[in-house]
Amino acid sequence: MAIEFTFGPRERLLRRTVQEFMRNEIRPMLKEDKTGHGTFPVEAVKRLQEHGFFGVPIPREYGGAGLGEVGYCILVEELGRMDSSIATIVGAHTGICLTPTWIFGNEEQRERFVRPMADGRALGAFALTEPTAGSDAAGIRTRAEEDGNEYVLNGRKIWCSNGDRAEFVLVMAVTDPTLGARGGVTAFMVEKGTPGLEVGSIEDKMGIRSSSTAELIFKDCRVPKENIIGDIGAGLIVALTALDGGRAGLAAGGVGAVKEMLERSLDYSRKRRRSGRPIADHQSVQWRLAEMATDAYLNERAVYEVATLVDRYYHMLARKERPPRELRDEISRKCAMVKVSASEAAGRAVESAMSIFGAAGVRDIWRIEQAFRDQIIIEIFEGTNEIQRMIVARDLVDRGSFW
Amino acid sequence: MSPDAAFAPGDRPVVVVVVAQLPLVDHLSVDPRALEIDVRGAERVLTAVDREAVAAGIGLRDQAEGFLLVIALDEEGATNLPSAPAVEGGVREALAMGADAGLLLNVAGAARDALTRARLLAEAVRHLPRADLVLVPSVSDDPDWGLLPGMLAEMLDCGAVPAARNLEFHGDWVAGNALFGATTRRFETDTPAVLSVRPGGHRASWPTAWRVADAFHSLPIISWTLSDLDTDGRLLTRLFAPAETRTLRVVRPEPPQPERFTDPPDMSARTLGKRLARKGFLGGF
Repeated sequence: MAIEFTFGPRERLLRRTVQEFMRNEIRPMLKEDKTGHGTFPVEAVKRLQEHGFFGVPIPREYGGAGLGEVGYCILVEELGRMDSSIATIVGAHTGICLTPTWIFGNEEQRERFVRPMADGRALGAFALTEPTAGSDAAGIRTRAEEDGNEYVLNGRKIWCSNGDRAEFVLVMAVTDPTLGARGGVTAFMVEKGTPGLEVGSIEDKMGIRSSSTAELIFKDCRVPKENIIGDIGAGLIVALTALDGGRAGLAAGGVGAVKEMLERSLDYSRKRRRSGRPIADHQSVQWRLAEMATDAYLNERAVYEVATLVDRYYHMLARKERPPRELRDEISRKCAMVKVSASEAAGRAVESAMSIFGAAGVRDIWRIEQAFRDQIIIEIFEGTNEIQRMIVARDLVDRGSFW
Repeated sequence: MSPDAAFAPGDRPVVVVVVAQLPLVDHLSVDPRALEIDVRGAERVLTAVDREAVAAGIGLRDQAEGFLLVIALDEEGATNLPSAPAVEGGVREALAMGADAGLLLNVAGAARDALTRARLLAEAVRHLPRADLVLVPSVSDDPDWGLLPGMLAEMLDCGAVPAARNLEFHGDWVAGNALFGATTRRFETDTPAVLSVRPGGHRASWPTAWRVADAFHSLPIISWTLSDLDTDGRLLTRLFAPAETRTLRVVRPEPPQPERFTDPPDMSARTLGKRLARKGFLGGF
């Protein structure tokens, strides 16, 4: 499906709003804590929730802003420019918990779960990865056994962003081991405080240190059947659909990082003088700037075209329509493509910025070293870039053509 | 559209904020044939000073549980640039910040100097169902706007307060600090009044994601042309007639205790600029 994308006045106003709000209100609150597992930015998150930035893509009737996936990607891009930890917190909440709950939930679940998460009263998290199942999501072992009107969950989940802070956790668990990936996994919404839900260790990470990454332990955790999101056995569809859209958001964060590195490098290289002239006069610096600008331009176009496509797809699913298989495959392929491209562009951009800044880049004050540590995770989480390449390649080989 | 239907403030006090919409400079281009700056399609935004005035208006609206209307002339009036179509980017921004409604005065070619702008704005304010306070940013990118508050007050026959901040609105009167000459003093005055709003002293008002969406979908922006204002068929005569001699009520401070102003001195409109300058008002505006 060919889409020509341009930003409208609404999107431009949203971008300016996020930029100025982040610069004036949120940025002063943020200081990276390099001890232990970092400090969750409670006050900054609260301010963003109060301003509706935790429910941007969700329709107004469910408490969101109704600005769609394009609005969400603009938000994540601008957050990613300022602070990757905040972008991660919003992404884990909106991209992979709130949005799939809205898409696959019924009206009662939308009132119970979607509304409080979209209007900023509650934080969400997503729990799929386990110690023995990461990229091979179908290999999860957390069990959910039916017992009357409830399911009893047992198992461990790791790498849950917001896991220890969330009021709602979207958990994938095996309801029928005999079916495996094809109908054996179901999505459950587990509420904070449910007996049997425990927070395990909090990760001490190299980057995105202000976001909280928790282990969640389920010990005879009883979840009512009305908390099943989507159909029984459709858990992997819920998870993979969430991850597709989530990847578009991650890619937008990567675009934000490239733009930020370019802007800072450009500014620095025009001011920093060596041998009597700005270092921006040197061809080696100019090439790096040109590469960053090219990456920013191309990835921005691709990300927002995909976001438009994802928006249509999600709205079809939310209306309980059945999208054509071709559209689903196209979404998966393109989301994987932009995730690979933008995340690796972000990696290249921070390397270039580090090179342009030289010794200054490793100093704390310029926050290039923090970006260096933060950006690497975009290539890893919500499906490593290796997995994304497999998704693209399988689709190509299956269809035997590029378009 | 009838102003009553559009704005529906009911019995609530109405705060009006006059803003300038300026094109974003990074979107400007030069028309090679006409050799002039082409602002068609350029995005209109509020300046930081205008946003301050809107934030002040939001604070006053909330204090008095009133209604906040933002008025902007189209960009021909705001930038003195010809051939620009009416756009409303700045008004939408004000709506996103918290204004209740927007009014765009789309009057091509009629608003190229401060006096005509003041007349148009005064005419628009007169056409509103109600206006208790008119706020004008005290500093603008366009130096002509510095004359606007005094002229507007004269035409609306109400008090004018220069460079005000820390405002309190009580429905039928307003108080705060104002810059009289080089001195900041407290004032109180009855409404209606025209206040030139100085940056600072107002709580920042950031648009929320919800209001950004509402600004484009549900919050009203009304566009008025000359014909909407010309209810008696004599508007053009009034707009382009030589300046009349009218009286201007200027709010003066009575230090050290704040007092109401009941008998302000008269000033001739012909010498308005000189007198305001002598009293240090123009610096404040």
